[in-house]
Amino acid sequence: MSYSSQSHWNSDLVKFGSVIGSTASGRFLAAEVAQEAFDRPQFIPPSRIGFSDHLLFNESMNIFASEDCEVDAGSWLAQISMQSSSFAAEIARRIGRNVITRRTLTEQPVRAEIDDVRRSRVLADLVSTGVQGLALSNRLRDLVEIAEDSDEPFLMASAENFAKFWRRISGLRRPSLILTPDGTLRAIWKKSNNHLLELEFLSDNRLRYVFFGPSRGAHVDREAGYVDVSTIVETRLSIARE
Amino acid sequence: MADVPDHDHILRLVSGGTIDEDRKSVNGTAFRMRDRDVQSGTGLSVNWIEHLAELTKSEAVAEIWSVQKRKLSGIRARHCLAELNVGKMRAYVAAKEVNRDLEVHHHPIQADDSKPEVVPDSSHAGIHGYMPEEDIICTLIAQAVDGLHDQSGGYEQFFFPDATD
Repeated sequence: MSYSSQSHWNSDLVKFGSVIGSTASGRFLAAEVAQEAFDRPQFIPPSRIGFSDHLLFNESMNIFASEDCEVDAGSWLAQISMQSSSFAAEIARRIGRNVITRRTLTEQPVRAEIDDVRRSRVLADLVSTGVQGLALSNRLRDLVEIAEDSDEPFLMASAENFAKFWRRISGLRRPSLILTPDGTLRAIWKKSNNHLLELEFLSDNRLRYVFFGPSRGAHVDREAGYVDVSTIVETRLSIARE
Repeated sequence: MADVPDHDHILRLVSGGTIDEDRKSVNGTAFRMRDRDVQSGTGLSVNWIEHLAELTKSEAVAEIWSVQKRKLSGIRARHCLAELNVGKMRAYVAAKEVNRDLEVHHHPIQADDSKPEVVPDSSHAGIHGYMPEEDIICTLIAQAVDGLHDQSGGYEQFFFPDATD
């Protein structure tokens, strides 16, 4: 293994678990998660990097023990998910549950930490759906960064609803994702300016949508409004499948 | 309240999140009217480039960036100014949504000694003629955007569709 690939892998490990932060209890939880990873026989670290499970575990311990540990579970999970996507999703859920449960018992959770947990879950949910999900998680990460950089809103509930939607409805093409000025995610499937579907995922599980589509003759139907996620009609989604 | 003529151009500040990944389009949500825009009577906030007649176009764009940064502290590198030709935007929307007549009016913001927080903005203007819930109009306006100006003086031209697209 070259020095550069080891360095790259270490960098990914350092990012592991933004949910955990730099608190002592957080590092303990991270250690638990790493232990679980080590104990799971189906866990396969990225072969292109070539670390064994044992080395991964030891390296994780060293990094989590450092005082300046800055970690991002989403990045790390995105890396390993290419090898073991279902495991990545499971570990993200477990991280989130542990952090929230333990913090509730001891002290009020810090909002930023919960947001990090939720964000990591969303990212892991997306990457667990495959290559398209990985691309969506990368775009989502980019949009989070834009929002944070500009002090603009980013509604995690909207991202969660999008991830749920993406997992629930199979066979869709990867949409473009944008972040609205209200902090909600909007997914866009566009064939032309006259044939498009835009779904904005609101916090209350509704969709704000725009649909432009061919009608009889040269006429173009244009609709916009609100609909419940569970009742988005298949005819409108057909553009997202073609 | 003068009308901004059809042959002139306006700029709308758009956040990086509303720009598509390929930077070839801006989403309609960047043109979403707010209740406060309607209530104040100033419409969707834009800047009228040709009003700064003593400046070249690139100088005018730089001046509008400067004013926007004084108004809003959250402007970052990925914010852009979306450029629209007034006549093209109005014709495009009218062609797609029959009888929809958008207008662009000049609403200059003057310095006010009693309100030091108010940033003077002589080229300030507003798009009028639609309501906050009208996402179809927002989407059509976005489709009429000519291109994006970044803060370093760069400009990316968009492909503008013909009437049959």
